[in-house]
Amino acid sequence: MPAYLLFFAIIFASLFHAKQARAYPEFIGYKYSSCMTCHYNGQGNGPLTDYGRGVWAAEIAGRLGSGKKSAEEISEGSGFLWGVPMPWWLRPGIKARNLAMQTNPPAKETRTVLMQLDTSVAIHFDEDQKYIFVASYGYAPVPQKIKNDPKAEKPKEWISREHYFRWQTSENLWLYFGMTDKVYGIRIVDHTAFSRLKTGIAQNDQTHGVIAQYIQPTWEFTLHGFGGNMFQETDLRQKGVSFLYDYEIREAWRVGLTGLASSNTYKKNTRYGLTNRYGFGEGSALLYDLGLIEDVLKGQKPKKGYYFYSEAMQKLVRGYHLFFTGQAWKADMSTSDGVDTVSTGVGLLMFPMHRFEFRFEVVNSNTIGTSSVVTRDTWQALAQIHLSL
Amino acid sequence: MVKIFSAILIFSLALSSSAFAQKKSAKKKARPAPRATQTKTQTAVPAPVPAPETPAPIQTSAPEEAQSETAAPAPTRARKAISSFSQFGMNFSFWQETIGAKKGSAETDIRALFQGVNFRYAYNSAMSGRWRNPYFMDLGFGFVKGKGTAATIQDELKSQPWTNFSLTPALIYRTTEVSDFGFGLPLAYRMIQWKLNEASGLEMDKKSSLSAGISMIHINRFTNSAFLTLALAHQINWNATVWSLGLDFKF
Repeated sequence: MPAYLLFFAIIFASLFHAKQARAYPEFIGYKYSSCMTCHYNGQGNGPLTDYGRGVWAAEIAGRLGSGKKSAEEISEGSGFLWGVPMPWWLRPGIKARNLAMQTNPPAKETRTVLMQLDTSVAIHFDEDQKYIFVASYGYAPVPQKIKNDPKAEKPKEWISREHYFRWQTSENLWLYFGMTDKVYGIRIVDHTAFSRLKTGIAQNDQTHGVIAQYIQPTWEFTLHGFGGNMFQETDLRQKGVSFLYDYEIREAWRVGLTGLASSNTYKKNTRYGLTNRYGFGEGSALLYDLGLIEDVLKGQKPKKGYYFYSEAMQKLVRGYHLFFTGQAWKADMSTSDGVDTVSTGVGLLMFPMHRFEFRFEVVNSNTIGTSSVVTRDTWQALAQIHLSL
Repeated sequence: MVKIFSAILIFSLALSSSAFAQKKSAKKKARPAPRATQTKTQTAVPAPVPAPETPAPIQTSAPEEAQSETAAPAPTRARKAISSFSQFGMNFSFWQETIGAKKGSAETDIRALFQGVNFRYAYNSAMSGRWRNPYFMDLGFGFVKGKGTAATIQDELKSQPWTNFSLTPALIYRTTEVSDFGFGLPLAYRMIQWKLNEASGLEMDKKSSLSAGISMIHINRFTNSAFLTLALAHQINWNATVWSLGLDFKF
């Protein structure tokens, strides 16, 4: 067995000791096990609830500019217009993320990408928030590989990221109708991670469908039936079903089982995996996501691959975190000449104050195969700023 | 691949059973849950957020408890002093490096991939507060592979064995009860036992080499005696960045 697989085997093994979370699933390190606690979407991602805004401001972000304000005062100023009260039924939001990156630094060229510029609104139809409508509309950059190709058909740059109606039918059951991210695996922030990119749940892979999320204190089960993205051509829409079962072994330690099966006219996708989120100490976490991918292109032999994502995050001081990532992916395990892509990274996740996130990461990627040819590894330096109202 | 996943699963289950047992016994000692724990457990099924915008999270779920704790700061817990200890472990490492190759008058650089296993002993000397000063000693074995890409040297190197010894004085800070972070200065001596086809006339560089570098060390402590250690080292003389991950045990 190659050493790097043993390397990942150790990481994977440690998940059974460790503690785990989505969106910022790392926040299970702060004992936030369920995404529903902070997000309108119970699978994470998208607009934050009032509670989520309060948690970010009063507990996770640093106190830069807060003076001697108490946690309650900081939390009260975490709304869209800071401390100015909004009507109970309206919760607007704006988010922007900009990325600067260099390949094999120091390089002459620095590429910048406006990754996200979204405006969102949550409308509460009742004060108990049993009936809520949530929508996000935003900018989606055209992928670099087709941006400069005059012949390529370019997708729209302004799209609806999500729009859904959420209905809490009982104390434990939530139903979502509309366009959302697919329910699958750990919903981490990095949409280029193999666990998101290679499974088809990246930043622009939303779908229309119905979600049922059943939450108990120690477990959650979410089922998603979807009919594809209605903004796409009919033959491209991936229709299918996915699920995620999350079980809390003990406080701040959740393991999960996840699966997805979908198809369109040209391609059939099947994915299944194991997830683990483990929080320990105060603000530290270990995440793992391991799964198998089967892609069947019409008229072709199925390709069976795997993906693996791991992350160790450690709080240094309030608002500042150090993290390490380890990932691997192989498109087809049935051929002897295939290569494994292995990526390792180290970075800083910083929230110096509420509404601001800075992320700096260095990523080292290797392709490892049975051949003696060694492709030179690549390094990437990534700096990201995230502003949120 | 199925074998690999089976091995991972078996390894995981074996470790989980021992870890679970240890955690269970630790739980019996029952220390009081931290404030955050008590509050957030109640939000596993989150309560509806009341009408006023952005209430403080601690007020949403447990107002009385939160208020009382805000008013009276919790007494400072006595911090357990770090004492000196020894540790033993094993880690896996991999890195890329460029190695010079020569064939007659032709010369080229071959990009090589190193993968291997290291056995480690370390003595951790306690310092003041949360600081400690470990000396890591690693004995490593592994294989290197690569292929010449120059027109004159296209030889393949497969499973060439290497042996490594390194000494790393480090400075480590205990960031939380279960995690540490620190820096080290690894000094490594390595031998590659080149097994070359004599008829090829290929000569490889770096049969033995010495390198010094700087490393960053991150430790997650699963129990009082078992750690997951992740290190990222840049070896200056080899111009290589070495990733390593391993399990260590205190004794």
